[in-house]
Amino acid sequence: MELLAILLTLLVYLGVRRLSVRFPRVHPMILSAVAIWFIWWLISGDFEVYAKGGQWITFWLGPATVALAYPVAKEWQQLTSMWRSVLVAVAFGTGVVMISTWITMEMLQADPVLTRSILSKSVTMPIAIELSENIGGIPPLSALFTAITGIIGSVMMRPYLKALGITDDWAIGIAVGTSAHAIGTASLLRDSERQAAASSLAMILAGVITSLYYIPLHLLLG
Amino acid sequence: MSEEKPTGKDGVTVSRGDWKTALRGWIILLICYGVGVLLQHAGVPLPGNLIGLMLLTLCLLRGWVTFAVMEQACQFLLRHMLFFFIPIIVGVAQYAGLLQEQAIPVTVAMLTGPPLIMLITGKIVQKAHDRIAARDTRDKTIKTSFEPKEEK
Repeated sequence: MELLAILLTLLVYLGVRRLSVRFPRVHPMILSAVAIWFIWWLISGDFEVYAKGGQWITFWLGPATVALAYPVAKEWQQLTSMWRSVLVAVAFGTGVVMISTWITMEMLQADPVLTRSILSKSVTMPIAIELSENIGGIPPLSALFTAITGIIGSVMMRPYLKALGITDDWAIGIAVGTSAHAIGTASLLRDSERQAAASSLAMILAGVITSLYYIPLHLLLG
Repeated sequence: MSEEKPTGKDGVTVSRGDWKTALRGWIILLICYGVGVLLQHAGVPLPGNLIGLMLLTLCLLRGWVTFAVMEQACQFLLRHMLFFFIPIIVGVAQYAGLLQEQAIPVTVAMLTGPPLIMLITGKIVQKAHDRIAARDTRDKTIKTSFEPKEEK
C-alpha cells in the first residue's frame, strides 16, 4: 500500500506536469495534491498509510534544498553587490510580520498554544518546526501553518507583485523567499532561475534571522 | 523514466551522455546533505539541509567542485522540487477539522502575513536596486535628465 502511495503520487505528478505545459496558470503542486487526495480517498481513505509512503518522497526535499546551492552560487556576484538592502529588507519584513501575527492572534483571542505555533509560519519548514518547539508550540501544527503560508504566497505572488509594481528579478525573489520559503522558491523555478536564486538566499537569511528573533522568545516563554 | 531533454533555462542543451559526471554530482550532493544533517545532530542550531546548502555553495564558489559536475543532479532536483512537497500538502487536508474552532484568528493571520512581507521586502529591494541602476546610468551618461533638485 505504501508503494502504491508513492506510485500514485508519481503518476499524478507526471500527468499534471504534462497538463501544466498547456495550462501554465495551473499550479502543478496544488492540482496534484488535490487529485491525489481525491483518488486516495476513493481507493483507501487511510491517510496515515499515504503519509508513510509519502515520507519516501518528502525525504528528497533535503537534497533538493541542497541543490539550491547551484543557482545561489551562480548568482553570488549579483548578491554581494546589494547585500545590505537585502539584509535590511529580510530582517524588517520577518520582524514586522511576526509582530503583526502576534497582535492579530492576541486581539482575536486565539489559544496561546496556537499563537506559539503560528509565529514561525514564514520560515522554511525544518526551521519552523524546531523554533515552535522551543517556545512551546505544536510542531505538526507549525508544519501545517508553514505549508499553508507557502501555498498562499505562491498562489498570490504573481498578480500581487505585479499590482505593486515590483518587477525586478531580485525584488521578486527576495519578497517570495522571505514570505513563502521553499514552496514559493520552487514555484519561482518554473519561470526564472535568477528569481529562484534570490528567493533561496532570502529563505536562508529569513531562517537565520528568525532564529535570532526567537532567542528572546525562547528565554521568555520556553 | 521518460524525461524531456534537459535544456537549461538559457537555451544551453545539457550533454546527456556523461553519466559518470552526473553520478559524481549526485554523490557530492548527498555527501553535503549528509554532513549537514550530521552537523545538526552535533548541535549546530540550523537545519541540516540549510547547512548542506551553505556547504555546497562554498564548494562551488571556491572552485572545489565545478558547476559542470553539479549541473545534472542539481537541475533535476530543482526542476522537480514541487513534487517533493506533494505528500505534505496532501496531509494538510487532514487537519481541517482541528482548526475549525479557531478559524477566524488563524485565517486572518495567515492571509495578512505573506502580502505584508512581500510588500515590505519587495519594495525595499526594488528601491535599492533602482538606486543602483540609476547611479550606473548616471555614471554613463554625462547629462542627467531627472534630478528633481536641479530642476530650476
